[in-house]
Amino acid sequence: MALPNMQKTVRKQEGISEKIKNTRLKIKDLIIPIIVSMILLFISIFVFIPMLKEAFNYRTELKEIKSKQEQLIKLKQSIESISEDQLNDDLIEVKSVIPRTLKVASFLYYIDELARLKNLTSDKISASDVNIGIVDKNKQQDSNQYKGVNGPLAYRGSLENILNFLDNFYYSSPYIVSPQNISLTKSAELWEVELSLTGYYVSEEENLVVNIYKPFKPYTDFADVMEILKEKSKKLNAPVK
Amino acid sequence: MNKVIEENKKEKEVKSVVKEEAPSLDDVFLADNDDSINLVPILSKSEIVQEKKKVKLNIGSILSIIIFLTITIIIVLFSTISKIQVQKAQSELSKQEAEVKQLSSVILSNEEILRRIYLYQDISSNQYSARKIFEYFTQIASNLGDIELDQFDFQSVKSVSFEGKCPSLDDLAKFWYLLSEDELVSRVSLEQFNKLDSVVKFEFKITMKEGNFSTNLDEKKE
Repeated sequence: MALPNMQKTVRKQEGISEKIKNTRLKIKDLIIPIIVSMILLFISIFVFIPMLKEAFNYRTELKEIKSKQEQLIKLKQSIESISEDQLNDDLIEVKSVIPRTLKVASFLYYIDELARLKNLTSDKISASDVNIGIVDKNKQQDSNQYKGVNGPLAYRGSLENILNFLDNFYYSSPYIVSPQNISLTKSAELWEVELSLTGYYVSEEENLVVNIYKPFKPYTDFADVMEILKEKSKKLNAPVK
Repeated sequence: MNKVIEENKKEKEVKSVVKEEAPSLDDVFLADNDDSINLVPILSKSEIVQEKKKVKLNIGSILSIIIFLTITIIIVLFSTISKIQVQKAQSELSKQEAEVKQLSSVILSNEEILRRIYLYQDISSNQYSARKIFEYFTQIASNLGDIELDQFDFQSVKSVSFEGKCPSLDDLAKFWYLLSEDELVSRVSLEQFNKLDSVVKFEFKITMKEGNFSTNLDEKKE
């Protein structure tokens, strides 16, 4: 009876050690999970990630398109808010004040006429075409976009007349003018004014291409400036007294 | 011969007894050893563990495949829907562009006017009233008495220089002091002065504070 019990104990121990051996992780147990993991990793890298990237690119593109669509809707609304007939009329008037080319003779005529009205005598009049670039960073205007007729002028007269003449440069001239380097000198009882005067014009651009995505601002937003330019246009078109 | 056969028989019997008495390794773990008779073959513990592992492995595999397929379907759908949406939006945009381009003449005319408006604004922002500047400094000079200003150079809306004459250096100093204390003047520089007999000639360069002598649109309308 003792022998079978001993044998049982021995076999139990052997069984336990066998079981422990079986529970140990073997390399062959890891082969399939590693292969499956590798396949998944490759699929992720070469299929999923590019597909997701592409999908996100589409989303970004879609957002851009939507924003462009909104921009175009706003642009269309803004354009439709402008009366085309009114626009053409305003364009003609504004172009007469700031033309595509400014004739020196016309320009000097108004200045000289103003001086004559103020009882000033001319000492010196000359004019020449110059390029005048105005760079406005806020409006992103190109340099050399505006041109001007520029020349030194000199008049003599009473102080009051001279000052009136200078004030009326801005108000009375139908063209857009800008005096620079104004010098006022007293000689005997009279005063002499010397200045460099520029009359501006906008040169015509060739091959104008419409950029519909450029921010659109209707000219009607500048009603105050338009009013001034229209008044100038009326003066310009009024018969010379 | 019979002896040999008997011995073999005995050996076989012993072996069978030993076999009967010594159950297999796995049976050792399962058998209750209560000498009862079990008609249904009972699984050994290792067999049960193996079976359980197999079931777990199968459920795990199925779940993994389902998740994998779900992810695949989601990604493919997401990508495809996005592509379709982009294509649709692009075709709509093209239509809108075509519509707006028909209005390009209005855009060009508007731009033509805007260029002129901006030009006017640029020019007018630098305009100043020479009369105002002249009268302002002449007034200061006349408050002191015999100071006469006879030449003005207007450089910009902020800068002016003038020449004049006064009877004494005292007057010049007072004038200089008044100019430097003036609220519209930010900087005064006495460029030069000459004393000739009873006349002192001087030249001042003034930097003015911005905005005080500029002309504005409202004034121009008048």
